[in-house]
Amino acid sequence: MTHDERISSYIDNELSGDQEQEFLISLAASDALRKSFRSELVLKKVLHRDEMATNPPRRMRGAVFAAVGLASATAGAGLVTSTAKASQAASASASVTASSVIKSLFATKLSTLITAAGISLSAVAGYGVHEVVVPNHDATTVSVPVTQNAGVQHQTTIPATDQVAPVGNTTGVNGDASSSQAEHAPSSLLHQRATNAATARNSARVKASESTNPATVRGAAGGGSITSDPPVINGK
Amino acid sequence: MESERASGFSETAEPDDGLHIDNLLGEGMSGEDARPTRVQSQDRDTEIFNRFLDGNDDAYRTLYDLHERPLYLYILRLVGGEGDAQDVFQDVWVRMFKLRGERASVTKFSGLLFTIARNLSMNAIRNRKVLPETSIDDVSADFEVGLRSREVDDADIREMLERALAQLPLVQREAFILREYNGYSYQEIGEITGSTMVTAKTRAWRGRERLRKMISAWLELKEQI
Repeated sequence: MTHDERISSYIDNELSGDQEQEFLISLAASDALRKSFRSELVLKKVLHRDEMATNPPRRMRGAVFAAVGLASATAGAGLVTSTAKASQAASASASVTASSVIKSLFATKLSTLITAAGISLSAVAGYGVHEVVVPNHDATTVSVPVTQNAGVQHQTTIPATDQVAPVGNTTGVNGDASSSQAEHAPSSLLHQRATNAATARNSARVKASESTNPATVRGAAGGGSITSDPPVINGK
Repeated sequence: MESERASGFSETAEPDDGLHIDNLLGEGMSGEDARPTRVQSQDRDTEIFNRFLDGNDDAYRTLYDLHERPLYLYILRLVGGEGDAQDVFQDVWVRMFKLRGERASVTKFSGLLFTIARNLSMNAIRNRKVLPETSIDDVSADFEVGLRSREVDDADIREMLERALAQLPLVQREAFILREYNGYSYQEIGEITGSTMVTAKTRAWRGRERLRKMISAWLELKEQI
């Protein structure tokens, strides 16, 4: 029996106990046999690696089943599909919920901002308007030429209470009727207070400016300058 | 026929249920600790295939999943090219499916599968008319060229193995592949290849001997480099 035959028999487990013992003794004694045996082990290792690394392409399964007229979908695939659909539905509903929440938050914030802006505008307007006629005083009307940012001269006569209605209407633009009505009352009240305060301040300033001629009043909130001519009171 | 198919497997599986691998393996045959022996696997596969012949499509899918990898490896190493191997692989499974109308039962599924694969592979090789047989010296020279031209790693060794296998005589190559890759006994190789057990053994040995000589040459060259 040659070296190769002995090695093959050993690999195939075809040697008896005595033959195997004899083979192992020979293996220890013979360099040539050891070399051949080592090459056999390397070959085994290479074959094993080749076997582990070789796989059929994934598309083959679908191709084979399609060729024989079978659907390649399995129970597992169906589960995956249904899971994917459920996940899509969940994400869709989540996105709808998220968008509705964002919308409602946005609407709330927007209406709040608009309300605040309306109040600020009203305050500024009340601060800047030279409604120097205080109804409780002597019921006189004062015409004041107003110069705002661009320096345009306005000869206006603005009753302070007229500023209330537009603010409430502006609030109603971005909200529904109920919210407009609901926000109208407090904003009007606040505006009324702000206007009254502004009127009082303006009144005081106009009084102070009567001592200097002409008087210049700067609106703190509005940022514009208002030049007041000397008031004409009852033609005087 | 029913008595022939009666087995532990058929008693544990519901006849009309879909065949899933856990059910098909049956009690005591699944899991790491209860790996089925080769004979048990063959009996199981034959039973599953007979279910397929009776009209159960899931049985076909199960058999495909069980034998996909070893069958593809056998065809790929026998035919040599991936494109041809994939064509043959698909043809084998189509041929197996067509047996539904032709046979009522089979006695050994695995042998039938690899016999059909072998015949179709031979047809593909014959039609292609490549793979000239060369001497062992030529193959060793091929190894030497590869070793001296570039760095050798595992991928290169696999590539050299493929080329070395392709250079083996076809009868030796198929016997060696069935023995080393698919683990068939010489008796089974003889049945698949239509030869005797002794002939199958001699072919497998010679194929292995050639490859081992190539490995020896490679090792010598590696030590020199």
